Amino acid sequence: MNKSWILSKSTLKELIKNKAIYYTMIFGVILLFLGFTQEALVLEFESNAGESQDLSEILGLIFFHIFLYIWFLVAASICSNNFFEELVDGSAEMILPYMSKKSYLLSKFVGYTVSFFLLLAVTFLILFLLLNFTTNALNFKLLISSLMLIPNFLFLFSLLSIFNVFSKRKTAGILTYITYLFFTILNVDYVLSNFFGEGLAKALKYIIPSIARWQSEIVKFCFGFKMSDYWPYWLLNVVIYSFMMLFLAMRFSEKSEV
Amino acid sequence: MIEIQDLKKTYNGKIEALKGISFRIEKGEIALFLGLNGAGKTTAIKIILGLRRANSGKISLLSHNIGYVPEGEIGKKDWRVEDYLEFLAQLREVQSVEDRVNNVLEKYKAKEMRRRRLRELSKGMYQKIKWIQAVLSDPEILILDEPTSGFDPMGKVEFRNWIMEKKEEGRTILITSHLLDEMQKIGDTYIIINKGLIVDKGRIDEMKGKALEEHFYEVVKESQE
Repeated sequence: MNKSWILSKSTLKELIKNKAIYYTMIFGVILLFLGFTQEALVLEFESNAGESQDLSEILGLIFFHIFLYIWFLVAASICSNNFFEELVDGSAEMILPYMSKKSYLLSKFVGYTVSFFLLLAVTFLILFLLLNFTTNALNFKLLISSLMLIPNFLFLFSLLSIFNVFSKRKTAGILTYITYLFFTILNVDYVLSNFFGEGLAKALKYIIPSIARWQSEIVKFCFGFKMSDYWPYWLLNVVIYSFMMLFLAMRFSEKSEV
Repeated sequence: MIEIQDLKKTYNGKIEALKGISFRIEKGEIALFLGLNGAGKTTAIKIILGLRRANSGKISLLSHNIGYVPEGEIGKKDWRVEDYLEFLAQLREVQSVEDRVNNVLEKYKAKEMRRRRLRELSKGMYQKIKWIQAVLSDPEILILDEPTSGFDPMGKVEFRNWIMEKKEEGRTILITSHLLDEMQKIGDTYIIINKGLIVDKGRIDEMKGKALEEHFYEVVKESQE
């Protein structure tokens, strides 16, 4: 059997056995239930009011996203902490003499990514059953769009991992959350144009390296926008992901040297 | 056989952990790698294992099938002994994983530990699992970093018997330990390292009854002056 496969499988098994995963799932169901119901109200209001963009809608979106991010962050923290614990509890030391560091990193990343996706998929399934989405077309669209936001994991996991390398775990969690929230709020058009003026806001939209931007585009796509209009964000995010993972791999190699 | 030639390692371009060490351990020999804390023993071991990269130097190994007993912990404490050993055996490409784990546990009288989690083991039992995992792939070379810490007198005797059995099987063994009296009973050769340099090496049987501990103290003290 392939060593990378054995390692990825054991990572997945380890996380499934971890109680923290189930607490995260319950926390996610409660949090997203509140988020979804709030968002559904806002969207219904929007559909009744036509194309109007007032402050309450924007606040509603921010509210929903904050809930979503808190949960993503909690889930990503579990994966990230698990990974970094391996550097100090001897697990990595027992594995690395028998496989290359590159294969080890890649297998771990695949293992955690699959675990995270499973965790999110199961949580959304529970929500789906709880909210009876089959009868509510609007919420179903929202569910699908939220599922498409799952690649957020890559951004969060990378951020959290990088902060973990530089600082203590609690500080890393807080820093990741602040950074993520900062980018999220900065990406709301209303906030951008009010703080920076129309001209600068337009420029910033293209400069800000944020998956939040990408995710808002996906939401727009799910509600009828054309994906082709948003290809610069896709490209930008691919570049940012690649950079972050490269940076993380370099730091990992330095950390394991000492 | 393990042969190290002019091995150098610097951390962050400042701390010289190894300043060009060389030694050779013949096949079937037990070599004691001795030094104070921070002398460079663990760094050298980790370079041999491929866990660290040396700045320069050459390492020749008889085989890349190496069994390693680390000084610290060996993994997540939630693992059950059986699952942990099976996982490591798979990674080391052992044939008939389940049979091998069963045989090893039986041979070392540790079958009753199989369903226990690593965190539930006593210090001595945990240490025993550390050397059981090292022999899973039937390695040609064994590298043991402080393998006797936590053993009671019975455990020490068991360890001595185990290491002698491995020597008789023709394994090449490198051990670091601070229990010099204990090690003198089993070692063939010794290598003393201090501040990243080999300050003495020789054969135990040429010490003419002198205690290794006393010899070590004299050599290290002299090298520090």
